[in-house]
Amino acid sequence: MSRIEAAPDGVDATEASAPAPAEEDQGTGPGPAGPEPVLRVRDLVKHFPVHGGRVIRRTVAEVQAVSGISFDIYPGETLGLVGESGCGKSTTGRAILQLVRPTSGEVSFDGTDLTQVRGTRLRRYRRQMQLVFQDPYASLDPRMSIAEIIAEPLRIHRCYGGQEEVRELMRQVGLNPEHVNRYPHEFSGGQRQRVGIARAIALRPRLLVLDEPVSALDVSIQAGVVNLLEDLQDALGLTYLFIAHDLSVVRHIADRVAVMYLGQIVEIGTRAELYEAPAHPYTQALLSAVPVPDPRKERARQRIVLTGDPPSPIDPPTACRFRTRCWHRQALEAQGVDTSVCAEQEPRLEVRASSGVTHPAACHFAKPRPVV
Amino acid sequence: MSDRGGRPVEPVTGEVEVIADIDTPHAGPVLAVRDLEVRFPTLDGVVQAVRGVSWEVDRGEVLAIVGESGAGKSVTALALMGLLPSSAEISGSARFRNIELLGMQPRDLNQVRGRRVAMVFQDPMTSLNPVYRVGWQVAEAVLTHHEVPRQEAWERAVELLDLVGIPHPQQCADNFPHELSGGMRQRAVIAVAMANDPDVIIADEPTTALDVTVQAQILDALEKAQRETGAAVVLITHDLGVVARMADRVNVMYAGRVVESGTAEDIFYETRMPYTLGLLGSLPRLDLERDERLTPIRGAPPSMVNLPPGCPFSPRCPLVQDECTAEEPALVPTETAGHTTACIRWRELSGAGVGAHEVFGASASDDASEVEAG
Repeated sequence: MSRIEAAPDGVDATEASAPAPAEEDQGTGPGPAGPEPVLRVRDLVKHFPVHGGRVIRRTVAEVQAVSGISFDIYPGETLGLVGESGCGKSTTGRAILQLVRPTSGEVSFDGTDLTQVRGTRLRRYRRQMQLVFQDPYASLDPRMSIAEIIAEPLRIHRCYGGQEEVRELMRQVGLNPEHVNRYPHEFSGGQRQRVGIARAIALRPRLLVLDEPVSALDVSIQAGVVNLLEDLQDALGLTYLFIAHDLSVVRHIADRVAVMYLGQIVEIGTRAELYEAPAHPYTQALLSAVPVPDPRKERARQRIVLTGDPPSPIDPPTACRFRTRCWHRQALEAQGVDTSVCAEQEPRLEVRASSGVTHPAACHFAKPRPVV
Repeated sequence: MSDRGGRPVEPVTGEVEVIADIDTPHAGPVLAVRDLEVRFPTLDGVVQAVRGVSWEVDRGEVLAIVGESGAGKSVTALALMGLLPSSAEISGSARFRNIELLGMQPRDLNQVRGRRVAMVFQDPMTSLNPVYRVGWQVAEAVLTHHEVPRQEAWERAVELLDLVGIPHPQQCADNFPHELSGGMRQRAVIAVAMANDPDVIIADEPTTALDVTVQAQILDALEKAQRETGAAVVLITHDLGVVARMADRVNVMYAGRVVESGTAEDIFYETRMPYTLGLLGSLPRLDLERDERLTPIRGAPPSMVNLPPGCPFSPRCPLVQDECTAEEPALVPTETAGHTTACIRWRELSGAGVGAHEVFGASASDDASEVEAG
């Protein structure tokens, strides 16, 4: 079990104890007062170039996938990151792990800005942060046995201690260790996802980025994987960034939730704040659109139906990015309220206590409204 | 508007004798499926995709068919639309009014399909033709079944696109499918389905590929389509939230059979089949604060080539006993009229305090290892 001793701190002591920049926290998470965040993201930006030109390839535009987002994740908690397709939530996850290099901004893990770290030093941090992918069919190499798949990260980091270790990991994720020499095609979707989780926890990481880990599974299977993730978090003290579009799963698993729209976080708060008193019109529309599996309740609900589709992230609206589809703004205008500020000034992600909002929401007219 | 392009369409003229009485008023269900079986011979054996399914649907009613992947939901729909490959072995009966659809000649079937029974598929990118303008594809649906001038059909297409909530229908009609978003495309497909004022609209996972805010818009469009045409809607979905919102009656399918059938209220509040109960218990809820763990159903759905003996749910069922594996239970009535279940122990699920957590909690180990693999 040398791995366990080696794993928790594979980082130079000088790095780990480097003091975190003492800068004002912009209300990006209440969090417990004591512990330092495991992960600190500040003004993270990722733009992807769009190439064009007939003869010479040149950059003609930029997809603003992530446009300056900030949040903290504290040890042992689960932060849910939700939003619709194309809002930049997966890019955020990949930018945190440095799988895509951020255009600008800061991603601090234990006080070290990973965007400034390269090569072997980065690899040492990587073993503390692992990723679980959405598609359990595409994310496992069909020509490798389960033993090889789970042992691969251990081999890469030179701490592979033999097959018994792989069997133990399989037991831990609820797989039969006797199946260690089978191949991915012999497993169902739920079992494959468990293999993906075993591979991710093999190095005893501290942070897991879970990118839609249960979206491809049928509900009866999904529940088992969700429970497994909760058990592993308790047993191994893991911290999760849980990226999903399914707001019901996020309500079940997350401690805090951040809602993204068009590359920005529009609202962030504890689970109770976000689901019981959502303050941003987009969050309210999103929650009200999810049908609940209870006919009487569902048929009595008021739905906020958004018109149109999200604008292109190549050319997002100025100031408030949601204003072009905002039902709240339309309602206010109908009442004769002047909403020109929505088009002139970008709303900051901050607490607006005067309107009765106790958590940060990026809306000039934020107001809690229960919709579930 | 001949410059809109498109291949010439021959309107169907001269009703064939079989369906001469298609327009006469009809009492009873508009679509009735009886003992439908579908088998696919493969190299690994015969896949028994649908094993004796019966249901009917009346005009103006929404029937939801719910189940997990591989339960046979879509195959049922494709079978009665005559859209399965010729290798499929189909038996049983599917009657639209009093016309038998199974085994019908394609020429005759074309008078029913698209006109009387319309279908909305899951993926709007593959159900629209990428090389024709959207407006033309809607107009084509009109022209196929009615002898009207092209100009008139085009105007009708724009009207339909407007009806399903497309913001600038004139402009959208002139677009190609790739120029529209997924939600807009699915709306165009619903417009095609509405074009001939059908009696039945079969929607196969119409919102599965879409985001929730778009899903809400599409469900609104579908509700509107139903109101405007008075059609029966057969809604195939795996999402119990969508079922709760839309359905009048629900058929729960498992391993190619209907295992529970009843009104939406019966299914959600008076569940009498352990599988349905398990599905409801494994759902994380948007509307409830987390207080307990989810209760998964152990194991995985059975292989459709090699079904377990007796009740196909028995290997995963916490209430299993010897009788369950001896013989496959038939769909039997419960204490409520019209509510049926394929479980011999359904009585034990009645009464208060028999929720998913109580029934599945004890047995639901999170151990996936006992599942047969491959």
